Amino acid sequence: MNPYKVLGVSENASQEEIRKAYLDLVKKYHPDKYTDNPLKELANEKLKEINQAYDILSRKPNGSGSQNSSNSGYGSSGYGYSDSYRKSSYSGTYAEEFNRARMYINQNNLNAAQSVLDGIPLRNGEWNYLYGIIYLRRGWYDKAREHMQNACEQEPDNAEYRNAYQTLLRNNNPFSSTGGQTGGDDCDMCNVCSTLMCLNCLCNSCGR
Amino acid sequence: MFGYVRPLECELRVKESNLYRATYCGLCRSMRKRHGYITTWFLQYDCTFLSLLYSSLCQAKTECKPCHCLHRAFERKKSYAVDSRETRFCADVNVLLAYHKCLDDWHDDHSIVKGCAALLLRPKIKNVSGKLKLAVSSGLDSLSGLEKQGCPDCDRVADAFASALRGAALSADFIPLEDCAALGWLFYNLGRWIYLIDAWADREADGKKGSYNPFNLKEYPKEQVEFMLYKSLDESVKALDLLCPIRNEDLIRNILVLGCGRKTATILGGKQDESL
Repeated sequence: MNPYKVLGVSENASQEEIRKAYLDLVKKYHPDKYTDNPLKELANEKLKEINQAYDILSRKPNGSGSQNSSNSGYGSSGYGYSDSYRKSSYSGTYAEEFNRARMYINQNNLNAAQSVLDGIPLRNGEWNYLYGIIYLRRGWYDKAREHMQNACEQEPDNAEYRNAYQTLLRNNNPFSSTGGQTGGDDCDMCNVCSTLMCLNCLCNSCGR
Repeated sequence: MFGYVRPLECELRVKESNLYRATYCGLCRSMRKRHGYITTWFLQYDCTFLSLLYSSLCQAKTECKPCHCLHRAFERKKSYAVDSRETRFCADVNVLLAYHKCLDDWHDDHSIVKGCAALLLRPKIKNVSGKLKLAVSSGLDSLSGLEKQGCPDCDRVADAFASALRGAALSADFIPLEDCAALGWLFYNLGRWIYLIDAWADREADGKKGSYNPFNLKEYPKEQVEFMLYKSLDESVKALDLLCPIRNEDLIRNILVLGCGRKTATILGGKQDESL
């Protein structure tokens, strides 16, 4: 592994540049972005590689800030992925089946998880939540949203369901903020400016 | 159904714009060389994206040469990406998708023009690899089955189309093994986006003609459609992140994020088209 290539920096980059590149990459592959995503493992691998590369480069006696940055918390342990569905807090009826379904989801065996859930006649919050995750991982977003919403409505106090639902909705529209509107048609400030300019012209012509 | 995946030109740098054009012309020439002149009438932007992505992923450098264009014979020479296994593969995908599209239109509306086009394209399909043909036809067959039944569930129909696109993209034998998962997810989500945005844009026309459209069968609030479209795009961008670093990342990102994002915004806003 070439740590410079992994971080996308040149070989004579300063510690500052390395750190910046590292933080940008961590943001890009952040675990929060890839929960309930079939590419979670891949993102995890990437992040591990990035952590390793940063570890090597920040320990290298190259710049003056070297000791300082390896101790800053991202170094050895770095950001990592935790298992997001460890154990369910659920303890109602069919607890065993629901746990089995969660286990299958953890292993990314979606068909098995689905058939376990299909065998449960109870349509409670847990059922809807798990079904929502299955749909989410398959890419069936409308169904995923519907089930997550049901789960939250049935058990509004459950933090796990609520978080998952909010994450799903929040991730939804990054395009308007990343410049999707550049050069756009409803640019309010431009309208204000051009209106002011027009008014100015009118005033000038009236004044003379 | 095709032609939605395009760059937002006003945000492109000159070199990126040139590269995009060269890729487009390169794909056109590969189609002509491999399948004959007629097929170039069916050249698609979506396959240009595929060609761009694959050559950025698998080639160390996109080799370009200047050449005259048959469609613009009196203009000066334009540069085009030279014939390679990537462009040949994308030419196959383009011809195959165009054939299925024409056949589908012929079955739906009995449009004579589309029927003739399908007849013209039919013999060209023979040159296409069996793996690719199987991947595309299995997805599109299940799609037309669902459309015939009048399936009101847009997740399910979008899934059928998206699976066809994923199958097509993954049937290339030159892509690195470690990138298959990310590429599959990228094209699956892009396929969902293409199907849904096309269905949403055509829902009124389809309603008048009485053709199948999932958005006419069940009431979908606009926010819900917006959510589905942006979520699909977002996921395909996440998959692209996992392919990176690749060459021409800025151009590819421009197409997926800005081009498709803007397209979504304009179509949801009810406007027909935009160039800026």
